[in-house]
Parts: sequence; structure tokens; C-alpha cells
Amino acid sequence: MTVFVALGFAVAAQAQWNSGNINVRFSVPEIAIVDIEPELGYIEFSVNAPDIAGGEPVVEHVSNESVWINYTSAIRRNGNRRSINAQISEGTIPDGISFYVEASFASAFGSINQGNPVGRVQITNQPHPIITGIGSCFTGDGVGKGHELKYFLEISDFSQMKSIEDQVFTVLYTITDN
Amino acid sequence: MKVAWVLIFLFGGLLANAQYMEVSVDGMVTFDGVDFIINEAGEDYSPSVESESSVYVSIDFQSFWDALFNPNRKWKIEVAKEDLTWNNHVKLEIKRTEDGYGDWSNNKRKTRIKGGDNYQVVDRVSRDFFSGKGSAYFVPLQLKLSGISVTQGAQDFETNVILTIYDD
Repeated sequence: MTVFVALGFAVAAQAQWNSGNINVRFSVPEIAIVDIEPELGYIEFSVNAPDIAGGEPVVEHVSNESVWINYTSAIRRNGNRRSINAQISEGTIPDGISFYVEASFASAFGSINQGNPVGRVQITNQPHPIITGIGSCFTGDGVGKGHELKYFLEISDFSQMKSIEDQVFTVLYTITDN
Repeated sequence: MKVAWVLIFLFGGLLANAQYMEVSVDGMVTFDGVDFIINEAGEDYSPSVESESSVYVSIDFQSFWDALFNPNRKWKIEVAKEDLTWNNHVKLEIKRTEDGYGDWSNNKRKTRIKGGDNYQVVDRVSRDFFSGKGSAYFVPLQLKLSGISVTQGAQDFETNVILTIYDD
């Protein structure tokens, strides 16, 4: 019986001695960034006189580039989903003219939890959501990724229109918590 | 005579059990905060992030007499982790980047260690990391994270990497 106890000690000597510990700790922060691609600088419309007397003025979209909105979003668990709002931040839209933006559905590139387009939205100097329900996601960076933006300029009240020189206004896109 | 043999067994067993080596860790693991920043809208995080190598492991004899009479004692280190706050999509890997030193006093003697110089996954199951003979001081370790994505959301991560030394 005693011999078994002694062997037990010998076996124990082949086992674990002790341990050291490395604490690994880091945080992944909340992120909300948005960008327009390509960096055109501007899009251009012209409102021309009608070809025939009594006809309506003709609105022409002069710049024809495809414009896309990219974003990356990381929210905390149970945090509010986000929206992208658009508003006129500089300049004014001429009287009698209405300006609209419509975001497409997200491209196949990118991750799950991308946002949903609201549809065609009139843009004023107040923020209006154009994409909602954005979770923790990324769209990919560049043209063809994220949501394509279509711009529309319409004559809403011809009686208020005046002949003016070039009119410039800026659309600001902001990603916000709902 | 029979009693003497039993005493020899008992004493020998106790002596062997008393002679063990210990592992200790110095420094801390830091992941450069820049790696968790997105530079361009639409991008995800980098596929992997390496720690700065400022954590070191040392293997030493528990007592002077152990080092004197058994300097070639063989050992092995196993590695595992115990998660406090973690996401199973995130993979943690570890490797040793250098051999460290075999002598505490003048850092001239080479260590006698092998293995562990390629990244290997650290998970809840303890696995062989590297092995060696005798003492080894300030063996630098590096850790790598992969699988982190913004789709997992903003969150905190914490785990304890456990290095356990065994008689080999």
C-alpha cells in the first residue's frame, strides 16, 4: 500500500507545474463615416427656354456621372440604427425650383445590415432622411459600392421663376443616430 | 530493509515533486489604436492586427538547488485562453518572436528552446506552444487578432491567455 503512495508522488512530478497569465484587452469603437464617390465636386443642371412659344422650360441634367454614397457604421449592441440625412447646407435653391435625391438599394458588395433607401426625397435646408435602418456594416469604398444617388431638378412653380445667373448650392450628407 | 525502501520511495517522490520550474510573464499586450480606425468610408477593418511585442515570458527554476543539480530539466509550455468578453468570430494567435536569454545575469547564454515560432491559434483547449531545457528569460511573444469586423458592432474584448508549464 505504501509503495502505491510513493509512486503516486513520482507520477505527480510529471504533471503541471504552474501558470502565467497574459491579459488581452481592447475596444472596438463606435464608427459613423460617410463619403460621396467619385469626388466630383459638383453636378450640373440647366433650365432652358422652351423650343416653342407657350411651351414649358426644359430641365437638362448636364453632368451625367454616376454618384455613389459609401458609409461605414459600427454601433453598440442594442444601440439605435442610423440614418443618412441630406440637406442644403450652402446656397439656396432658386424660387420655383424643387430639388430631389433618390438613393438606390445597396449594391451587392459590402456587408449585411446596410440601410434601406427612403425613395425620392425633396431636399431643403432642413435634414431629410434618404437612407434609414443602418446597422453595423460597411458598403465598400468607391464607385459602384453603397447606394447610387440620383438627382432630380423640377420646375414646381413656373410663376415664381426668374432669369438668374448660375446658382450654386451644396448638399450635405450626414450619418446620424436615429 | 523493507521499511528503508519505502522511505526511499517516499523521500524520492517528495523531492521530485518539490523540484519544479515556474513560468512568469512581464509586460503587457497592446494593439495600436490606429488599427481600429477606418480611414475611408465604406471600408472594414484590416484583416488582421498584430500586437506590439512588449510581453515576455520567462521560465526559471524555483530554487537555486534545482538549477544547480538539474540544469537540463526538460519542460514544455502549453497555451490556452479563458474568455471574459469575447466574440467567437475573432481569432487570437500567438508566437514567440525570439529565443530570449539563457542567463539572467549577463544575457550571453543562449536558450535551449524549440517550437512556437509560427503563429498558432489560441482557444479554450490547451495546446503545446514551445518546449525547452533549463532556464529561459525574456522570451518575447507576439499576438495577432483576425476576424474583427465593423459588422460585429462596437464592443469590448477581454481574455486571459494562460501559459502553463509542464514537466516534459
